[in-house]
Amino acid sequence: MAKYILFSIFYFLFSFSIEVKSNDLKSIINFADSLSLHRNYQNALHEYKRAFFFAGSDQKCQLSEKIADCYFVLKEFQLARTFYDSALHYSIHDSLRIDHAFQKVLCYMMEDNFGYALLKLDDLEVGTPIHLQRRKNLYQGICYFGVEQYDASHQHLLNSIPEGDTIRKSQLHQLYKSRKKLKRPNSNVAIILSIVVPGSGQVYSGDIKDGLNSFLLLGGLFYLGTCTSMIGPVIIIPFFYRYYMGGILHAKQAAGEKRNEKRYGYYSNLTEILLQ
Amino acid sequence: MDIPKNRKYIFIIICISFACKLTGYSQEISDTSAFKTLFIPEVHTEDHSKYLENQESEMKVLISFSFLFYKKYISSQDVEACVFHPSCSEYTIEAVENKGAIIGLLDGFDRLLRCHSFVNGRDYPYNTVTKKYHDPH
Repeated sequence: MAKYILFSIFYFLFSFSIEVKSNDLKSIINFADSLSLHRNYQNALHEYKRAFFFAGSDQKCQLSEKIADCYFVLKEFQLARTFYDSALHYSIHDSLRIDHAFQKVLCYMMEDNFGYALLKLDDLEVGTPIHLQRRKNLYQGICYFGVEQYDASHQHLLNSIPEGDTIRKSQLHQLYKSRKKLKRPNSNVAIILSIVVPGSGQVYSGDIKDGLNSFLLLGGLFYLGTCTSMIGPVIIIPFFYRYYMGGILHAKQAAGEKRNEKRYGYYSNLTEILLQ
Repeated sequence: MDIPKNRKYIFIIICISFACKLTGYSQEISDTSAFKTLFIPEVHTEDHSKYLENQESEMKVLISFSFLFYKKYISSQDVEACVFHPSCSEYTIEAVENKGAIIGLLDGFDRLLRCHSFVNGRDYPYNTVTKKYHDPH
């Protein structure tokens, strides 16, 4: 009888210790989940990392993903990428592995590194499921849009829409008809115009006020340099050179900003069609 | 309700909850919302009009007005030449605000003499984000 009592005491003690240990890790994860739910991502991250340190390899996939998600929300995409990589390493199911690979690519996209995202997408094998192929095409389409290869982008985005959805396909086709406008104003044209006539590059880029300012300032300096005493040019030339170079740089920047503005407007229309 | 029917319901409930758990687990970050944040153009806005407000003397108003004119019509056409943050003109206007017109302007001239390409990190902390040396007033 004593044997049975001892055995049952030891058994309960042993099972209780295991329970306590597992509960502890579970409670840390639950606590981190609740923090994450209340948008306290910084502290949630701290708790998830603590749990990650003690977790077994079966839980590391889930924890890596949660840590990566926190970093993603905190806009630390490089660290998010590292933990999605870790999740990818620990994941057992193919579907999860593909999902983590997509999240990793999304991190590259959020970092504006569309070229590298395209490379990763080329390496990614999603198999035969149509929904995954469409997802890959959607990602590729947006990446090609990011690297300003609009023809390739159009093709991939068309493939991302289901076959029967002719309305969205025609909307997309209609939108892509005006894709040539996205390449204007050209930065090189703006630079050349600014070299020939100061300020004209900014005017070409749509910044008329800045263009006039540059033209008047450099015109005034040119007048001071040529129509005053002999010593005038010596004083004026360094200033003229600085503002002349500044005008060229500003023309390039203005063209880039205008193009980005246009691209964002175009992209908003694109997302309305694609993500409806 | 008989026992086999009960089992069927329980099995369906377990299947649904398992599927919900899997979906929730794999879709923590939705790519739809992330895609909408792509390609947002950066907006650069610098408002220096605060320097013209609450000035005590006419001299300070004149200097602040000159500073604003310089910032808007001359400095805006320049290349990024100043090695410090805040820039020499901003440093001067802050000096005028804090120490008065004469000493503030002298401080500004001192800063102009210190602003050259031979400045090194031993004298001023270097900010890797702005790529400028930090020298506040």
